[in-house]
Amino acid sequence: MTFYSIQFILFFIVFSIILSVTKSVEQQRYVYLAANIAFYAYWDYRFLFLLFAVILICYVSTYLYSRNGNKVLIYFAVFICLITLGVFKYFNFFTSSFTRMFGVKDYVSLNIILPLGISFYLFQMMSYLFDVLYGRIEMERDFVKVAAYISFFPQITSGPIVKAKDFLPQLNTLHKIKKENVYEGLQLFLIGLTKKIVFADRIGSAVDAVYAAPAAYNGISVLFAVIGYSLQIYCDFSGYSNMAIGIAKIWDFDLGDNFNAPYIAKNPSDFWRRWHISLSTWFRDYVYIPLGGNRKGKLRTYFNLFITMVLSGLWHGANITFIVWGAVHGLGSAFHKAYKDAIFDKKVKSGEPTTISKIISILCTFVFVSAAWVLFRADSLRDAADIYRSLFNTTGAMYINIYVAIYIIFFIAIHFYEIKKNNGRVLSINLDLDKFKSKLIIAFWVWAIVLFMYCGNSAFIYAQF
Amino acid sequence: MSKVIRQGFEWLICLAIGFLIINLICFAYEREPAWMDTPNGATPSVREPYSILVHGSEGYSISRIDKNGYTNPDKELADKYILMLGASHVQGKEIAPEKKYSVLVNDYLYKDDLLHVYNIACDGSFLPGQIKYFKSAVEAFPNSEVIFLEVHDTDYSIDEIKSAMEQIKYDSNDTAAKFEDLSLKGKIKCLVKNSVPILSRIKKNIEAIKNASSSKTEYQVDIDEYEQVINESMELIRSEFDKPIIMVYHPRTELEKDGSMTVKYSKTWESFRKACVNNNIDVIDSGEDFVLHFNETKEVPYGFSNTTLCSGHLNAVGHQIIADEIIEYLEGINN
Repeated sequence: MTFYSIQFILFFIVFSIILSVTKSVEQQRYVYLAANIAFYAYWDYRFLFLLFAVILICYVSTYLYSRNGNKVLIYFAVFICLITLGVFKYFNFFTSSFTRMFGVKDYVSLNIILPLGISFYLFQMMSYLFDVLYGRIEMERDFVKVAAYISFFPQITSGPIVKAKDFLPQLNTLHKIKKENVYEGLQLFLIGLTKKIVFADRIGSAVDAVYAAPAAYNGISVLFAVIGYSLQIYCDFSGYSNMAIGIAKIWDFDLGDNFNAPYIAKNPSDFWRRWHISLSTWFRDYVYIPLGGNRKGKLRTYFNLFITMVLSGLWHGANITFIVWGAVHGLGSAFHKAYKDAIFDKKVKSGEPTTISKIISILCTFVFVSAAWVLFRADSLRDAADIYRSLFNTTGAMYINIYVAIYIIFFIAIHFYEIKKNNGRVLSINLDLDKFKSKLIIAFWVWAIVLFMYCGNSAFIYAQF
Repeated sequence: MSKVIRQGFEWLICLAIGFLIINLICFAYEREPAWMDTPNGATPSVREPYSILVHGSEGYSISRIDKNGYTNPDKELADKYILMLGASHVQGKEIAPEKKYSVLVNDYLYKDDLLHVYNIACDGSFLPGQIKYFKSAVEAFPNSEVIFLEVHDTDYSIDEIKSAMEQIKYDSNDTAAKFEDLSLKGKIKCLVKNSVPILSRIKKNIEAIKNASSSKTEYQVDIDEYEQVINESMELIRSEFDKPIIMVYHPRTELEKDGSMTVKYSKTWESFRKACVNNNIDVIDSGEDFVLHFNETKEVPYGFSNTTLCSGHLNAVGHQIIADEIIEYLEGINN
């Protein structure tokens, strides 16, 4: 049940009607929970039990912790989350790596299906546990409330990962479907839908072709595919986030921002302040800062940055490519921090960076990020090496996809606007749909999506995590 | 309440205006002219004569439909001609009209202002469709000197081929001329098809979504039985036309990890080829030339810059390669 399926539209309308007739906060929590269960069960009912078992264990742990203050209970619950993630997501990867390393021959991998959204809901669960442990929030006594938060359907499959301290308080108020929220939510949804089915899916078809046989294409075509993938993954993932945030907005929930024009970042650290913000802040709050952050000296800071990014890479998937991708970003962030500490602060403290230096920074960061995406996209390090090697192909088929070229130009224009006119923030659209002109824009937009949508394979990249 | 009604009304107006604007864009992006089923004609369907076909979702071209409802240049048909049957590949609606192989062959071999190569390709008219309509095509175009059939795939079920051998009975009235005598309902249908091209786009999108979500089943056939029926079907068409019949087979291609391009032959290709040879039907297999051309120029025969390479329809390169092969063949039989 993707967000743009008939099934989802019906599901959403039905639950919106039920929600609008409920009179109390408590009743609404049951409606959320019922919607979450229905949504998740439609995808894969087999893992509902796992989802609710984890929620129950964590709930009981925090409940007992609130009574006796024994931190071991929280650690136990965190351990359960990690072991669940480990078994379902990483078991085969680690055991096969281990057996390969030590030459064990009679190893049989387990046939484990990755439960939908497991990385997202377990991280939300851990955010709740940590927030209780650090005293940022009180232990929540209402099980329904905790379950409604962890399994909240708009973000359970691909995020954003909303922290307990930001979401749970929202369950204390009566949510009404207000006109202004519907308008804003609908526009966010349309932005996300456009990014996904008009941009990302079409770019994906072009990129996939080159990644399947890079040696067959010339260097320019491979470079074009590498840039194309940067745009594809941004449109795919931020598109999903926009849709999720928009859907939640219609129900009067605020899931926060998950992307903020990441390709105008001026350095790797800036990139991570703009890309998958909910995950970056999760790692910042629950890994980087507890490791000591920048409070334990420069070398330790660089190490903390590196290790945080490696873990972030591992979060994305059980493959060495993700770990290397995380490590590359970790090195990038650490080097940038070291450079800033060693040179930048002393030399250029007095003046603001010039426009040229800003543009160079943005371009360098984009090149770095795009080069790293090759690792993220490739199935193995060997495949990634093939792509890097193919960038220097002097012969091969020439393939510049017209749509991808147009979309790249379109996004350059948008980013240029964001830099010059929007103070480096992502461009948002919030039309007053009471006005005829705004309605006309939306109507035209909807039909344009129908005309230019890509109708082939359209799985969300981040849903696999 | 009145405010809600007004808002609703405004939304309807805006959706209608948006629809009209996008429909207007469709005239430059993707416009399929009206077509009509001709179950007893030379082909299963024809397009509205003299209408304009714009195709921009795969490659880009603007073609004008001829008086018989096919995509040929606006020229008079010669007394004797070469007839080309086939499906969408032969129509070449993804490329400029002058680059499709029927036109290339015509322009290379004949310098007068007549049409010596006549293309009656029709969407979806694959091998079974061409067998089914072969006799009627011969009757509809009795002055054909040579007939070319186009085959992209030979893997069809026994039932499909057997059913194709139950050929249709030709009716000389079942032609594009029917467009002139349409009922009011028919005229409205044509008007809608011609003036609301976005409807056809939406229909195609829905079909594409369905195809993307449906799982493809592996082709299975009893090869002995296949050989028997395909031989019978070739024997049938051979008996219906005593001049040269040529099968133009252009297999799928794939770019490989090592940088090469390989040709993917149908599983039944060898049996099919044997049946053609047994029945004195010549075969042009483009596979080898596709590979040679790629090795020399790194150009692929399928795919476009707005889709993906080595997928979809023949592009201008593919048409040129096939045209060269046909020209070579025709020059060979003329000498």
